[in-house]
Amino acid sequence: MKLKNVFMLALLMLTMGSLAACGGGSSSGGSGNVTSANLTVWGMGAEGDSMKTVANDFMKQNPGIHVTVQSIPWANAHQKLLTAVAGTQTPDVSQMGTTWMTEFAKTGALDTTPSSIDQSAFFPSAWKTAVVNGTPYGVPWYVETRVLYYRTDIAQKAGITSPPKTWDDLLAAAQAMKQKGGSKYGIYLPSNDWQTFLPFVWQNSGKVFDNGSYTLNSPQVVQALSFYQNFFKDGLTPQVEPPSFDEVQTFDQGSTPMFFSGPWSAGLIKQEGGASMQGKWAIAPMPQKVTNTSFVGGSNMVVFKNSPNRAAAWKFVQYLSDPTVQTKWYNAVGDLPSVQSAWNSGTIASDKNLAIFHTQLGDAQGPPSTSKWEEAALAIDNDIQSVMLGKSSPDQAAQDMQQKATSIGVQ
Amino acid sequence: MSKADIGLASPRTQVAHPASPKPGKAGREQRNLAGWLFALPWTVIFLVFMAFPIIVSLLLSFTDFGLANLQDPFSLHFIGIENYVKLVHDQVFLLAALNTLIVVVVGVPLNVILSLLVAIGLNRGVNYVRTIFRIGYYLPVVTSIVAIAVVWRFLLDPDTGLVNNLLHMIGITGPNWLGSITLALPSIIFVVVWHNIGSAMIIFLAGLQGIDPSLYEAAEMDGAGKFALFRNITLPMLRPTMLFVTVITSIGFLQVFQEPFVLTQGGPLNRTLTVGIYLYQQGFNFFNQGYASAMAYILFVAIVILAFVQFRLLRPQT
Repeated sequence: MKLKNVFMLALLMLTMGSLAACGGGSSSGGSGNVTSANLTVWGMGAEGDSMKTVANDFMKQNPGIHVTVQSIPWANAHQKLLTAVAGTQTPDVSQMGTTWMTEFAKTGALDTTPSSIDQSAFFPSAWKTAVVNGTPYGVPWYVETRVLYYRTDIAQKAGITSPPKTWDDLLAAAQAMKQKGGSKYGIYLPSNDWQTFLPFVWQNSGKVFDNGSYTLNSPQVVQALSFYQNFFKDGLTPQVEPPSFDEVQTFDQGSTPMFFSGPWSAGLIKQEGGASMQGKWAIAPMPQKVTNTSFVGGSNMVVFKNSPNRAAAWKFVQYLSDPTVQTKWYNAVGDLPSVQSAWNSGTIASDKNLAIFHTQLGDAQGPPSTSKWEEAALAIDNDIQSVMLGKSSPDQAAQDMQQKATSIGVQ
Repeated sequence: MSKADIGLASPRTQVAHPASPKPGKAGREQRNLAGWLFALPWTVIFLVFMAFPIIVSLLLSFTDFGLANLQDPFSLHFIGIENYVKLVHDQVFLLAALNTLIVVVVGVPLNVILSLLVAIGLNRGVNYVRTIFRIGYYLPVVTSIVAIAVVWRFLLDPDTGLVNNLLHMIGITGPNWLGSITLALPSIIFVVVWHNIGSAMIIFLAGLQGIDPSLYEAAEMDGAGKFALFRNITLPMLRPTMLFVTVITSIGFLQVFQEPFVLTQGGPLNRTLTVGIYLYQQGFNFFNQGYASAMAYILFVAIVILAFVQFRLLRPQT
């Protein structure tokens, strides 16, 4: 019953939005000097909450500009942004997941990045996430890449002295940790998460998207699926995680002594595990097959075309990508700076774990930039899960992914 | 039979018809106007928020309205019944339809029977205990679905959950309730029924209290036993209530969305994906609104057919 209401509200907003769009006039954009403006900024999840402090610092420097930060849960963010665009009720500035950039750029709602922002300051792989068809539509705010987290104490008990470097090492390590290390499982691999699975395809020198079409049924994908399946066949990872599953919690408990994740997990391990986890875990780069490619993600900052204060909005975005602000942001939240020079000083430069993330960023890929990717990814997730639960073979699943993704299309 | 008829008819006959003189033409028009004025707020809200979107979504179901139309709504194309044809061949939709059907076929009778039993129990019980139980059974209805989801996730957790720990005490290793392909949907049905029992129970309670006690007295005097009383008085007298509860529950269960959405998001392997969730994914996550509208209309037709059949089967017999 609720669903129906939401649906109707959205439709109504849609029609009203189109009417409003006909009558509205356009206002000046670009990045000139702004003295007064009211900005609404959408931030997601924990970042949305912490952004308020940064916004306060910004307002102290720019007394005329008032920034209101609205925090949106990640789970609702994608849909909320879509509805906002449909109803032309967009904020001035929003954080945006890198995987959504193409989709939103293609709706025509995003403002192009002014040339005053220096692209060479950012990591090239991060800048690429903001570019759609050759035009930049925002600025990378922070980056993240995935690495291997493992329990050093359990590894030691299992007779493992160095972190797994290859695919074979990884499988052997998971087996040893389960059999000799005394943990319930050897590793945690999600049964339906393309973000964890795709790096295995890339490591196998495979591609999921090439020359404008999906290549999900390539031998490299099938091989990656059957390698990933080994962990499920041998009971080295939980079959299907219950909804309440928390990989950091089971890591701390020692039942899943390895998992792949981004920088945020380091903070969570310290926070949830407390002093008892100290010195018991470490991170390592991705295991290698042909390469040791990882997933690159993160968030960009975008400005909406509808904003009456585009100049002030870009000023705020530019402030967020200032190296000192980026360093401060890392210290507050733990998000990795997208600006390269922010890595050269302070704790970021000396931290041993961060050096691993820094290296991994050198070999990391993002998902294909098609506006239908999120929809294709859901179908892919399901096919991955169907292999892991033994309902279809890697080959069948790869064919199915290819067929479904192709029918969903690219646009 | 004749007793039942009297019982049914009595509330209606009590409404006395005012023997006012026939109003003149002018008076009638004035009364019409007054009537419309009173109905106006609702009528406007209905037209703007219900009728208009319903018509628009019907039109949308014959178009390819999607992401590209976000900024430019009128660049859509009419594609006839293509969305409906695509739906019939969409494996995911067919699975979602099957899941929804299972929820209705298993869940509705379960919900009606359990709520009726609870209502009968509460109707007979001791007075002050009754109030506590009534609140207890009704509480899930007014509790926020998010709170319910969090609690049930904890209860059904395979390793640390209360349910499996209780099973463990009697020597059974409990399954992964929400993560198992075979058990996820039954678990969801259980939570849906638990969540909805209260509202049906309240309606049944009202129905039970509306039954004339003299019917029972008369039957008891004729030597009828407890079961005969239930079979021959309670059930026939509750027929209109039963119809109402069944229809309302079926409509609600066909649209089942909240519980699987917050508990499993349709997983594992789409085994708890319902038409409501798939519609939401297509319409709002991927913005394929034409396709989602077509789905909504298929659901609408299913609801109409089901309600029609139930009215046929359960209408008061004369």
